[in-house]
Amino acid sequence: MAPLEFKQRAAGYIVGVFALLSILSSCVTSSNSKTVLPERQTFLGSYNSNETTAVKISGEKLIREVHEVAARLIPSNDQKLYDLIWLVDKILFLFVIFMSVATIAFVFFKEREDKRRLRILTNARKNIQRLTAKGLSVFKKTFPQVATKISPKQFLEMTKDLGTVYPEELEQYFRDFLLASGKIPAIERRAKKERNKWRRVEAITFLGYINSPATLGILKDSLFDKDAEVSYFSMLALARIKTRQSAAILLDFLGKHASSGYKIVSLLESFPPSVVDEIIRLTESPDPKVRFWAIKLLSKFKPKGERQRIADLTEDPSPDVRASACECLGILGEKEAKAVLMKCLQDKIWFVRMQAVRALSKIAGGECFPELLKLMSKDSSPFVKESVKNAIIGDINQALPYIEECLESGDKTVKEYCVNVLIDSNYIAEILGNVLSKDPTVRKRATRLLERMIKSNVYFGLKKNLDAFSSSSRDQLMQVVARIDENLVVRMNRELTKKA
Amino acid sequence: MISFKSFFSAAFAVFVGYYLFLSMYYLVLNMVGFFEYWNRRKEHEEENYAALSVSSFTVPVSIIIPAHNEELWILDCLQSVLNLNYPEFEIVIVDDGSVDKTIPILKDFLKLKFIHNPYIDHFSSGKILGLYRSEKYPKITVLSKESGSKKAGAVNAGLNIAKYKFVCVMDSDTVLENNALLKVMAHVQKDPERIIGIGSYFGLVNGFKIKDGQILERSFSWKPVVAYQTLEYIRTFIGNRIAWSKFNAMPNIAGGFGVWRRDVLLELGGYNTEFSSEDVEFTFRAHCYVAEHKKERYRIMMLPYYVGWTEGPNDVKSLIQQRDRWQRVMIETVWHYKYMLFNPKYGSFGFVTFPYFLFYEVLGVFFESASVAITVWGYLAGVLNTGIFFGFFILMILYQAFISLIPLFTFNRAQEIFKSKDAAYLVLLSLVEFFWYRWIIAWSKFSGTFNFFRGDRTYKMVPRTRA
Repeated sequence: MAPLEFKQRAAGYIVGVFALLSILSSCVTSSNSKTVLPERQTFLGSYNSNETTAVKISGEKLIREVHEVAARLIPSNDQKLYDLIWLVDKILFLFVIFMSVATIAFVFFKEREDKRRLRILTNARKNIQRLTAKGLSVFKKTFPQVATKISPKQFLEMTKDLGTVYPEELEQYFRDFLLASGKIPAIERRAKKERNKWRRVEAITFLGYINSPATLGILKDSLFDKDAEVSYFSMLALARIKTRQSAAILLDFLGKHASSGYKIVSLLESFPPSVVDEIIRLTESPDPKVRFWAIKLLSKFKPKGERQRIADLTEDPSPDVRASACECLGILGEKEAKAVLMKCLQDKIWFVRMQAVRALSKIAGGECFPELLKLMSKDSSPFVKESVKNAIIGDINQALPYIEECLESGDKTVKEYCVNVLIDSNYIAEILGNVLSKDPTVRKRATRLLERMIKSNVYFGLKKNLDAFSSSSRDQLMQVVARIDENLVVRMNRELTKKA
Repeated sequence: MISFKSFFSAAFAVFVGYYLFLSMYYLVLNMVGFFEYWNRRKEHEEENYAALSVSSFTVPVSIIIPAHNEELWILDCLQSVLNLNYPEFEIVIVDDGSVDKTIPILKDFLKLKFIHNPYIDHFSSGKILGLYRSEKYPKITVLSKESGSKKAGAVNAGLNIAKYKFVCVMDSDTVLENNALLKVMAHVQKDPERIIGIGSYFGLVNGFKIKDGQILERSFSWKPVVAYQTLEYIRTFIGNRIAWSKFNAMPNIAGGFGVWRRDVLLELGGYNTEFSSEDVEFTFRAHCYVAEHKKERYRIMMLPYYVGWTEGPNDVKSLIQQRDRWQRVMIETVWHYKYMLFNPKYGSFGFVTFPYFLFYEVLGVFFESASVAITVWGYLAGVLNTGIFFGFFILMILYQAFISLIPLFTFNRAQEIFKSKDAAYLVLLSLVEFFWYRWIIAWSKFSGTFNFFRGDRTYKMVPRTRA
């Protein structure tokens, strides 16, 4: 990476110096032209200070001589300018004509070439599909004739990522066919030694699909190549192979280049679960970034029997590792992790607490609501509070008793949060509906909740929700509200009258 | 008469020097851009987008769409964003006090519901009127605010609620390609700590057939005022920005589509509402930040892939209005960051990009107009002989064609957008650009400069026509 950046910076400086030189040269040109102007006497006459200085230094005679010399120079100088301009014109003209013709011709021929290439590929693809329909034995007999008409690259273009189009056994057949074609050694040589970077990258990508016996060795070397792009495409090629060995190479690379973590884990995610052992090894890395990525990957593979190892990481010195360990425990969903996660609710870093809240809501559900509601009143982070709110909304029925309790005894902020939870979970209309329920238990419970909401003095859109009911139901509800807080009904009626 | 001739000679030499210098600058820049474009193209061909599009580790993105009276485009824009082939993203639409049907359209399409989420304003981005969540698409949030703090204020308001590490800021008249985010974020994914800002090329949507955010037919617009803008976009993106990007000296991640790292946006205090437009100024500020905090590892990049299509002015009047604002913001930015000019602390940016902005984008119009005026004057006054006079005019015409043709060739070498007749038309337009389009732009630049000195810092939106 470093040499490339150095090159880029060096190129930048060269252009900068070039720009400076050009400006200086244009300044020199302009100052020269001032000294060779014709009919100097009149010119100097208009600049008294110059004349005086000139007289003082060299005398009138000298000035006259200078003028004469300058006057002699002018025609040749004009000629020089004329020659220069027309020379530049000629160069630009040739260039413009060349570029115009080149652009039009290039697009024209490219259009034709693209059409031709598309036709070949479409025909070849149609032939392959037709052969596939005739059965595997006929296919294997006839396919080599079709394949002679296309290059390995075109062949790859047609067959890669088409597992859904071709039967699975054909994919293996295609690979074997290419391996037996005798072209692979040349491609391997290119992947190892080719000086043209993009031809090398092409060969590397090709090997990723074919996975010849020498592929892993070649890709391992090119993965650690000093050219960032060669290294990157080797990474992609290794990810196509999807074996334990290729995963080990990628994880080894991750251990040394943690900055590529995002990319490598996104590739490893689609590997088979047999790579888990290799990932677990990385949780003991001294580099916190590597430990972080290892846990992130483990969250995807959900390995069984690794809860304790991950729980231990909730005490890691790195907050990122602690947070991802909490997240992973939530994804694993083992109830035994509850105690560890409860402890994490006291972590000094907010995003660790936030992940602990999310994980707890997943594995313990309503059981953890009392602790979460306590956190709502105490926690300084709005993000943690938001997570608690979302956790409660996700399981509102279980949370209702705790919400009622908080509406009764919590402080103003907690009351506000509780009411917002009810609003965001669309529960207000349900409460009002239940107030009119024929079931006395439901009615009693809903009325109690409504009373606590009204007495919490937090706005919850009562009037707007009442509008959704019929006039008779609305009247009944207003009577209930009046029993709870008569003043509120008076205020609502007054506002209605004002609007009318 | 003689004093005029001396003045004329000096001025003429400066003009010739100016054109020679600019031609050389463009030549070098275009050569760099040519190879850089090719590298990016090859990279694009070999990239495994399929893996990226399904991975749960693909860097998530918050997309902020500021909208002010965008009833004509908002739905197509939104649908194109919803159609994105990208595993995880949220959309924040900021309605900046629209008085047309933008909000009713959004309410109808998204089934908006008022929400009570906490809103903390980090940037004084204006009074918030409401926060809504879509019932139909839970990943869409709509923020309604009072207008008055330009697009910058609207984006800042969106930033307050954006939750992901990377933020994509786009215009509400931009229709994105399905894999726009994937193409750009594939680069970020390589090392998200390194790239702080990234943009890509987008073209003009004028004349396209669009339905439900999907482009049904990409018709090339033969209308000269639109075709010239296409040529100009190619010249700017492919001719200059790709090369500047190579030196990590990219001066502008366009407001139409650009991705920034959220922590950098927050650390820099968001977009500046004092400027006529926000994108150039913020990119300059980000370069300052990189240099002043010694974050040499950070990169601000430009890619040459088509990511979307935006509506360009459809007539000369709108074009002048748009370019007037662009000129104002360039002068404002160059003046504000004048200390970067030839300052070694800012590396390539101070030596390669900034001088271009000052001498070409800001002052170029004066050089060019003065060169024409004085040359004609000199010729009429008999100071300049006919040969030099015509030679100089031909030089200006050829120079104008020269700076368009190289990027046009580079562009066509790697893209399959234009047919041969379209390419031929663009070549023809580049040959005659000097005779009219150049002067429309020059006029708008004069007007922008005049308005800058008048203290005009408004963000006048180009009227949408959807023609």
